Amino acid sequence: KMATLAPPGSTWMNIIDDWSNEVSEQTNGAVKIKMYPNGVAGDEPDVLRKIRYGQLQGGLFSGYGIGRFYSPARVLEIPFMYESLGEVDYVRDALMPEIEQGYRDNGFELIGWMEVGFVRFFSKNRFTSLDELRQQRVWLWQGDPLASAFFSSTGISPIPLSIIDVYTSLSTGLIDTVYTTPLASLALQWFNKTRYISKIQMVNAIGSIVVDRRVFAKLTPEHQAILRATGAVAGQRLVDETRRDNETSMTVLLEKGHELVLDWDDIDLDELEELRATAVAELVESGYIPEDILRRALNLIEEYRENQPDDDASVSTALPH
Amino acid sequence: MLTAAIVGLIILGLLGAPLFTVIAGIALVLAYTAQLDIAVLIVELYRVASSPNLLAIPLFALAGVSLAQGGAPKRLIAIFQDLLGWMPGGLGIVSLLACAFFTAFSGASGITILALGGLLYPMLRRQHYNSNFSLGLLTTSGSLGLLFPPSLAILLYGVVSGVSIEDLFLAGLLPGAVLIAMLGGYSIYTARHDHVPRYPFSASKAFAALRAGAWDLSLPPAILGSIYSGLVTVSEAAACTAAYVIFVECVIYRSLNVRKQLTSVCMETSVLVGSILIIVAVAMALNNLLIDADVPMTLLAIMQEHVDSKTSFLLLLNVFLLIAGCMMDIFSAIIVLVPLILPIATRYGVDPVHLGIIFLANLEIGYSTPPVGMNLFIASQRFRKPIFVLFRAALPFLAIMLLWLMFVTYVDQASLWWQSPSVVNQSLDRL
Amino acid sequence: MMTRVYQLLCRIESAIAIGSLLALLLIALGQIIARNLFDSGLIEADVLARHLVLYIVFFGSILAIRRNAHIRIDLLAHWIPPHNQVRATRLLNLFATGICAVLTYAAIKFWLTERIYTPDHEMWVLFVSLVIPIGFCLMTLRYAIQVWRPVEKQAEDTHAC
Ligand code: NA
Ligand code: NA
Repeated sequence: KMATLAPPGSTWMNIIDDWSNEVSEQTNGAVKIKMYPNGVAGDEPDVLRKIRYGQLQGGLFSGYGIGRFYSPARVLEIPFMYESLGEVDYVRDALMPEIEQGYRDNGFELIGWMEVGFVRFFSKNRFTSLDELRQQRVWLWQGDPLASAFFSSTGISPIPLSIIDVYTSLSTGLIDTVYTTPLASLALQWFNKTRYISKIQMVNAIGSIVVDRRVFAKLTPEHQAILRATGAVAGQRLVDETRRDNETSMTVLLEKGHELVLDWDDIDLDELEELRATAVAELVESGYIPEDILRRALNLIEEYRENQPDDDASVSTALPH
Repeated sequence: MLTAAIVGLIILGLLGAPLFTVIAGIALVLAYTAQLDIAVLIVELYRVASSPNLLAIPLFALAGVSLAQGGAPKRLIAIFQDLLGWMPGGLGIVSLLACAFFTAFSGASGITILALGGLLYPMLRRQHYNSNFSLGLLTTSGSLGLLFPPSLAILLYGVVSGVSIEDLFLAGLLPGAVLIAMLGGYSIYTARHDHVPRYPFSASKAFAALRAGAWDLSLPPAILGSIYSGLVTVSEAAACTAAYVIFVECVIYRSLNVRKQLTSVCMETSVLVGSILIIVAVAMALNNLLIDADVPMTLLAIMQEHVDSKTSFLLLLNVFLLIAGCMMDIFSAIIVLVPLILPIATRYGVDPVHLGIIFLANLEIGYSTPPVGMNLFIASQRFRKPIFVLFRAALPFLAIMLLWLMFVTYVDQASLWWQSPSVVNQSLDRL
Repeated sequence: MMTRVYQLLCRIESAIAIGSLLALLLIALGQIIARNLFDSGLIEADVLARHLVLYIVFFGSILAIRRNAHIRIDLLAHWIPPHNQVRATRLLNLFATGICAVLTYAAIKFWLTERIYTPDHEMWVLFVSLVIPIGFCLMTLRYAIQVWRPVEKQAEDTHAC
């Protein structure tokens, strides 16, 4: 039994369904995956708790949930640090053995790596500068140190909520601004309430399919191998299709009359650099992102940039739009 | 074995064990059967602390209890009497409005009959309304107002179903008003029939009443206005209302003594909130285990096999909810039944907002339905009348309410008129 | 001596219930002012306010036990013959004590597990959430007192606080 926030019929759930059929087929029904979609099992921290007590055996987590069992992995989603998907992929591949080990040490087996995609601000109100963004009632995924650090360095005082309550809270006006990906905003229906979308993208959000280590250890080596192999394939599909569907979702949103606001030109890049430094310092200080993994990520980025001399675009142009 | 244990627990409940212990007991049995760690129950229960909308319940309850102890019932009756007493059936209409206003704040917890019934019954009798009409009116009015903001029942439905509370507040307005109009019409008819004397209208008296009652009467429009203008959120409105009511009662009317009575108001509120929300908490735990045991899916499959249209589903739903409504407390009914029924109803194309109004309408009626409706017992105690006298007295009112129920159930536009068609379509697409 | 301890317990329970409710009101008002006038607000205040609801639930629940005000669906209660009423009530209270005791156990277990997994920045929330085990524990105690204490004495107890 596994759980995800993704609603039935979404890109993610379709791939997961295929994956669970595949697993069931290859293991002749010995391993069956039952997925509870749509957040019925609760927010990611709730799902983690249910895994601990054995009600669930695994789940799909975004960086937020991953941060609650192995926060160093979130070095891959520090806002404004990566300039292209190539960089993200390069750093991730290099750090992967360490991340897998980190998951394992904290009780989880990484079955498949996935992505949630490029995160933007979605708001009910038009905002054209950071100042105007500060005046919004911005959602904070309750208990997320990463987002919290960035908001506090930006001067935004967000409203902490479980993701389960976001849709209702957008209608009651408790919040008017959220951060999410175009695909997720369509899948979770948040787009209904938010007309204005930031052109700038903060970060390429990560995700993982994980299984409780205790449960995984009980499987036969053969079944373990099947789960890993199919999980890796499903993960790659999730990465590819999420990247593609986020692009199509953006087109759909613009066709529905949504408006792009807050371009890179509207922001002082030095200010942005400064607030990133403040936030990252805070995260390192609290131990949420260990300094050594941050150093290594930065070195890897530099290494990548040196080897790719013709791909030296600035933040404003390198990110896909 | 599992069935025996659950039946045993239900019997204990019917014998008078607190409802939350019965629900927790069933959850424990299910967890034990599924070989789950019982700490899982607490995971769900803890989610009470993450729900932003639940915050509004203690705050609105605080406002309601302050109003009750601060003498608002007396003031309200006096105001409505001076304003509407001149109409044929005037006092009947006054009673309806006062009860509705009051229930919206206090929840249908019997407080309305206890606080207002004792004042209104002698007044109605003195004006020569017949005893059956007076009793029936006050008994059924004990749950009137359930559909008006900031009714605790609506808040709870919103929390349990995840439907926007704002939408529910809007959706309840017209159906609620129609019911009051229908019962008001009956009151006018009775007054004419019984030759109840009419009182002359005095503009100066009405104006004085309006001025005296401005603080109380401005509450509902202020709450609604501030929420819909986007000025405040529902839970912020609740905090403002509570602060406003306490201020008005303590400073303007001086009917509440801060030192002496505020503690008793707070204790009263805690008891009200604690007894309702502890059930919410354990019901969340039970619901998780029901999902784990695939109960909602199984129910849905059975339904789809036997019920083929939305119309017949709604009819079945009404019958079921009326029975549930007369056996269960309104809050327990919402908490226990909504998670089971909502997914089935959406599958039949019932809008979740409309479902909420149907739910509350049924429970409102079930509250006064013989043989076991809670209002009947409370009224029997309050007016010291045998229960069968109240059965008879409530019948004409129940007939009117059933007619209204059909209207609420099958004319979904009465609840959803404010939604643009595209929104309705989108919410259907979602399913 | 016992009476004193008992009355102290009553006072503490009532004080926490009243205090949480008023604190909730004040925090909610404070946040409204902070957000609407100063575009600021404390994340911690929102989280604390939602936890205060738990305090009101548990301590309100405890008061409700004292006042016998918990919601019941006692359709069959009048079947119990009058001379067995007292014994039946005791039995039901014993049942409630048992359920609350099991819930207390579950809550302690939950809290101890949470203590291991709670990230540092949320440690204060962990301590606020102590209300769950403590609340269930006090509820168990309350029902146990009702089993042991004759029904007619309950009115006096309630009166005493
Ligand atoms: Na009500
Ligand atoms: Na009832």
